[in-house]
Amino acid sequence: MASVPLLSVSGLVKRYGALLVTDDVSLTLAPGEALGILGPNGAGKTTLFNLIAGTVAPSAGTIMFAGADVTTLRARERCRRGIARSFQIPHPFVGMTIYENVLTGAAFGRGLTERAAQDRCIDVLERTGLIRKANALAGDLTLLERKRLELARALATEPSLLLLDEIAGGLTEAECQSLIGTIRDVRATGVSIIWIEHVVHALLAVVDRMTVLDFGRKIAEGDPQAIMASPEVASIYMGLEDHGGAHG
Amino acid sequence: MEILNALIQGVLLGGLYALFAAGLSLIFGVMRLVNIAHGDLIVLSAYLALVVVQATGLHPFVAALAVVPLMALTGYVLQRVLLNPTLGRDLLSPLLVTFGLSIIIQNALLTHFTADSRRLAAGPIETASLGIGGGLSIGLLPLAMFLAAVAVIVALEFVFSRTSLGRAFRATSDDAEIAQLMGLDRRHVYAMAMALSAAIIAIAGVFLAVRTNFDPSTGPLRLIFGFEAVIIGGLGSLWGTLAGGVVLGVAQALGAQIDPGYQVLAGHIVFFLILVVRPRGLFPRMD
Repeated sequence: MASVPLLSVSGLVKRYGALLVTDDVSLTLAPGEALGILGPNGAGKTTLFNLIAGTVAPSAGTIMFAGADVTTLRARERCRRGIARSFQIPHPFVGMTIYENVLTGAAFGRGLTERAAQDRCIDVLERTGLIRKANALAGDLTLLERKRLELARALATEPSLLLLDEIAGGLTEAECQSLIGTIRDVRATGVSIIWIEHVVHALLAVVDRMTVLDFGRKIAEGDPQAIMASPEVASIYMGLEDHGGAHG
Repeated sequence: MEILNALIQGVLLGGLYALFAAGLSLIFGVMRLVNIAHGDLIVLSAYLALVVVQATGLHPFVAALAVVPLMALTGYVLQRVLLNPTLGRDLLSPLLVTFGLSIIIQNALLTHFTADSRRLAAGPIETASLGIGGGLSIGLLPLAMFLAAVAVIVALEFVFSRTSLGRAFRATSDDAEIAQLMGLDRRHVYAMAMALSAAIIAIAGVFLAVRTNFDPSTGPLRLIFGFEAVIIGGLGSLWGTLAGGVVLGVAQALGAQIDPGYQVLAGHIVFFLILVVRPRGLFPRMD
């Protein structure tokens, strides 16, 4: 593990009135590392992503990224520094084609010239298996294609940290396997990943380490197999694992 | 024959209404902002053209080369300083602020230029016409207005579909929050949209100034014509806006055939009829 972490979150707190959604969460991520985040619905997983991506401001705590304090930076500034995210419910720009969606990420996410953005866009579409549907309207896609588009648009901004929010949710087993393959390829290019997922076997196929959140707090962290075997996690996940058909 | 002539004049007049409407449509499309001061900004650019013409002695169409960038800059600053802070979940604040702006512009113009009506002399083009046979002729000035409207719409379509600025407009219009995550600065994108709208306003203002008399109070009616053209055409469709302008222009020209007093009224009646029959306009693209 490298000595300087890519991401270092410490003492992160988010309150909505009396509701404590993120309760003193700290975590670090080394360059190139993949971290999985587990937790029941309402555990504050997506809020944690909102805090890291900059769409929500924390009530307390700091976020260091690539050696700099980004706690007060706007979302678009964090994007330009290399943080990208996908959404649990895909949010493509529905009036645009797949190509235009990805081109938008490439052109503005890193301030590339039109030409460089087009090259980047083609590359990303090839890697995410969308190149043949490049001219389809984003509003007309299947769920898997929308999920791939989420991934492609995030990758177009050339992130060093990719935040994936339940990207495998709702997919068939075959679709899930194909997406896992793509995400592994992304990882192989050196992109660090934090992945929130209920589909546990998908997580286990990719991540090095696992963190468990419950009621906004980090309750466990460590080796994925050990985490899955821990009684604390098993009690939370018993129902979910049956539901998700996971066999990790 | 008179009816045919009225039809032709109406179609050409529709070009001017489309110019009034295109900037309005653009702003609404990108940021859901209804700019009540739109008509007054058209009149403001007519006065700006007047000042430039008086100071330099240039032909109004040449003066437009100065008025267009000046208005674009004004639009950019206006959006950054005044309008961006009003945009949010509440539709009422931008409405009220632009309404206030409308009153301020009218009164500032009144103080500066008095209520006297003005007009810009454009020389021989004002009366020149092309005979098209059958005793019909087309005025060069109305033709120039119509062609300018078509050119503006072709240019806007190009910007929207082919340029990175256009993608920024569409992405921000679709989902401003996600667009921020793609590295887009919403405040800048909105200001660029207002700058573009103000550039079109400037073109409309110069044509208004050479076609007809104007005074500080003429803005609101231009706003209404613009609104009617946008709504007849259908929200979100630029070519629809041109069609809306043409429908309005033709209705007015035919109304004037019946009785000169019916000109404006006929336009409003056709507008209401279309609202009743097709509430989303002729070529809607936006919900």
